[in-house]
Amino acid sequence: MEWSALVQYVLTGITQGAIYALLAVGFNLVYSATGIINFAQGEFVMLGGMLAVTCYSFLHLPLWLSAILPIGVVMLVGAGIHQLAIRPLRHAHLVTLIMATVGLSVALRGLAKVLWGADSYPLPAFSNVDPVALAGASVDPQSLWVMGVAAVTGTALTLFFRYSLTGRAMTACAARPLAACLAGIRVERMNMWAFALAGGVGAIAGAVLAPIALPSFDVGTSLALKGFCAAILGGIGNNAGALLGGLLVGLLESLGAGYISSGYKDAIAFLVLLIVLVLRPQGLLNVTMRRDES
Amino acid sequence: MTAAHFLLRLQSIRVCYDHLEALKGVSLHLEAGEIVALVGANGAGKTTTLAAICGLLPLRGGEIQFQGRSLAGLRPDQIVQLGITQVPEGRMIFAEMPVVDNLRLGAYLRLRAGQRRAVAEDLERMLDLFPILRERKHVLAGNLSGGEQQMLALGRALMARPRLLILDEPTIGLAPRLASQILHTVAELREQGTTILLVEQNVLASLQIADRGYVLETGRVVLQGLSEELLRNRDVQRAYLGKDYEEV
Repeated sequence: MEWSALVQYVLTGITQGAIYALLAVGFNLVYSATGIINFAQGEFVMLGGMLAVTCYSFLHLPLWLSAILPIGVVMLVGAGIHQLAIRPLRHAHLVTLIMATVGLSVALRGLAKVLWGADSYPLPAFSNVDPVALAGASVDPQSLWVMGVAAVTGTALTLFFRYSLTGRAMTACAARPLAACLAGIRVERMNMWAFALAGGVGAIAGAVLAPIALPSFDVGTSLALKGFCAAILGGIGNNAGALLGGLLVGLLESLGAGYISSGYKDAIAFLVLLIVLVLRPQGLLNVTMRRDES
Repeated sequence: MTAAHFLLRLQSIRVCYDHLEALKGVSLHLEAGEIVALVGANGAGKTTTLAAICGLLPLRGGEIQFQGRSLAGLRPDQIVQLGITQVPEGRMIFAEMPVVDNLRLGAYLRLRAGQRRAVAEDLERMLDLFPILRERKHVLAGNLSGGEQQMLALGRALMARPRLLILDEPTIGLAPRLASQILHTVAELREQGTTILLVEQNVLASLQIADRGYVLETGRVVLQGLSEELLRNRDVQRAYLGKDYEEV
């Protein structure tokens, strides 16, 4: 076995895994707050990438601003989705709400196709430096950006939920909506924030991924599936699980493509998901499956 | 006695779940400084009444006034802001957060309003009031015993500095000694000026610390009066105090 090839596959896997982890975190944010699986999460990533490209190539903004601006815009999209589509359905069955997110996903994809057409657009790498050599493999600097941004985002979210008043209130709402409500916390408002944050995390993933995988209107679907896989693997609602699940899916996909066949790379990830679901339906890191319904 | 005299006044309120009328015109009132017990069997409408006061359920009729002001159309958080806080049945502490975070979230609206110092002082007072919580203030609330969790739920509610404290079954599932300790604390809170509306499955214990009581049956107030009158009432004794016909 050639070591340099293995290192290369692992690096690729970790990079992809970091993106899947961010998607899984996005799923968790909405799920923890509302119990909804938001199938429009992939479209948040797509919008992040497309908007970054638009800011850079069409509006000629500096690259750093082009990467940051979409975060705010997609947060607004997330909040708007909650206010206009999810909140009016708050008395509906959970399945209805999940179907609504499927509808939103299709609608956002359609809107993107109308706005940007079916083309892929390039975004330059964040750092204009040569690949770094590591154990015979070469590390694309943008991969380091992906890993770093994912790590910073995860840390920032953890600190936000642990130490800020709004973060604590969101956590309280997710665990005990009724008790949070009786403490004067506006549950609907916190749910809106969950959607906004999910949008923001999606946009971050989209912008940092754009120089590696050129964004087009339809990149969201497959990303969402992998991210969903990662979230379920790690245990839905569990952010440490999201990281673990994301890395697992990314590595399996990359190693599978390298050593077995690139044609099977998706199949391998889903196969592992099936096995985990049979053996450990609550996910790798969750202790129980039960969600607190108070 | 004028309407403004009452701290809380419910005037023939009606609440429906779909087509089921859970409250069929409930009227009751609390004066400032009172402990009032709400007594009744399961399904009589006690918890529904409390939910309606806190703005969790819409009224189909009647009116709720707090300090002479109608609560119609107010959101639950606005009602908390006015000074009504409820300790829900089953405690509902935030199990995955430490004790101090539970307490601080009780003062959520005050923290939002920037009263950080006052909240920090109240947190200390609460830890004085419940010394067991001070010992365990960094423990995850889910790891507390049932009695400790009830004290935490009570402390969390008090962090909002309520004028009216509503307690739904505060002693359910607790050992008798802990239960009487909780009720003793409730009586002490009244001494400090908090008005209390108490729903309690232990009718005898609740009427012993309450000034007045209301008996609720199938969505209606069927009996009301001073606690000692209710304790002497034969129907109350038979239905809620477990006395046989021969005994009363």
